[in-house]
Amino acid sequence: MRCRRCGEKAEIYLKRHNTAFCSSCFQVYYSEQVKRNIKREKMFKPNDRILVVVSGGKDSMALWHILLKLGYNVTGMYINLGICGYSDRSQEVVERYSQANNAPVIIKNIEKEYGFSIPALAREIRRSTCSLCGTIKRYLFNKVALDGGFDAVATGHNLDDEAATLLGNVLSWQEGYLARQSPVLPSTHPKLVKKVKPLYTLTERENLAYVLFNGIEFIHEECPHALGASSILYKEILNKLEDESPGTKQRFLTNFYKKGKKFFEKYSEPVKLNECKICGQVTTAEICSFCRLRQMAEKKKVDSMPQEGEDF
Amino acid sequence: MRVIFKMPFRREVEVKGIKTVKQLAEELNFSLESNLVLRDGKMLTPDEKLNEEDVVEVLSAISGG
Repeated sequence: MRCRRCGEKAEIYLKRHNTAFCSSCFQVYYSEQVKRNIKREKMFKPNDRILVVVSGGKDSMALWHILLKLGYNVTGMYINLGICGYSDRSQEVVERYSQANNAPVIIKNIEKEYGFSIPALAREIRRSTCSLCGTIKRYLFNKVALDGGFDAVATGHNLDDEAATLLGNVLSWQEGYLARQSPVLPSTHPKLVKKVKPLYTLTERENLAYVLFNGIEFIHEECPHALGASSILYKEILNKLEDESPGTKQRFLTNFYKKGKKFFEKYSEPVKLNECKICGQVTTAEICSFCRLRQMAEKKKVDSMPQEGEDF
Repeated sequence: MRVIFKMPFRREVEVKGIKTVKQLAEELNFSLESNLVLRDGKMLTPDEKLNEEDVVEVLSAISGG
């Protein structure tokens, strides 16, 4: 196979585009896609300050690298969730990239700063680790972005992620989620920072190729809590369809945005947003879910302390 | 030919008489849509010829959770 752009030996075949590229021409394709997404969806302006959510995984490392390469003002942010071994190894990858590329990064540690680890708290309050993890990450990314005066939070969600999320929401007709799914989540409150997904038209495999071609170190292993996640099943099913009919994932997602989403708009009634009584962050309740979690963690700690005069 | 799968866990398979990457994917039932195939750290396209003494890595691109 020959590279479509320069005629040299190809290294990657993109069935959905019925084309093959060598390493450097693939990277031109890749950055054109990202530039087009940023421009078409008005994600951010050239001198905006962007907070990139990095986990050490291939997608977020690819996003961090491409935004730096395109010349944007980017700061990475990593949250150590206290998932034994995995979180520390991921943090090391992020820190090595930051040093090697002179890329500013903010590191947060749940255990050190808030006194609980996610798996332990999830067990204690009988809530799924993944849902707890999602709540905490969304809260912290917004808070750091707000406090740091960032214009947008960028995440490495790829085409496979978005198509799998859409499939899940369609299978259970989640009207509210279908109304809100978008590559750009605008700020609906002064204390909510805009969230963008510049890689949403690039496949997981293209992100993997991008980090390999650029020699970017990343965490191969999966979060131990992700095994069996429904998103993986949906991705496998979508890739079976993609095998048979290349371009399925892209058509499914982009045509939903063009033709399907409008039928669900009536389900996205504006939610009344308050400011949390404890930390002032945005919530639909009186106290935000993060502060409630902290209270539960505190209470669990007090309960497990030996009471006065108790033998142990 | 030795074939090493890295994710979700490391697994090694020995195969014989496989001529191309496309054939390898069909034989071992993995999708070229969600995996990359490398030899000596170089990415291979589906038409790439394979030899008996090759050591090939199959990297899964799927991540979840």
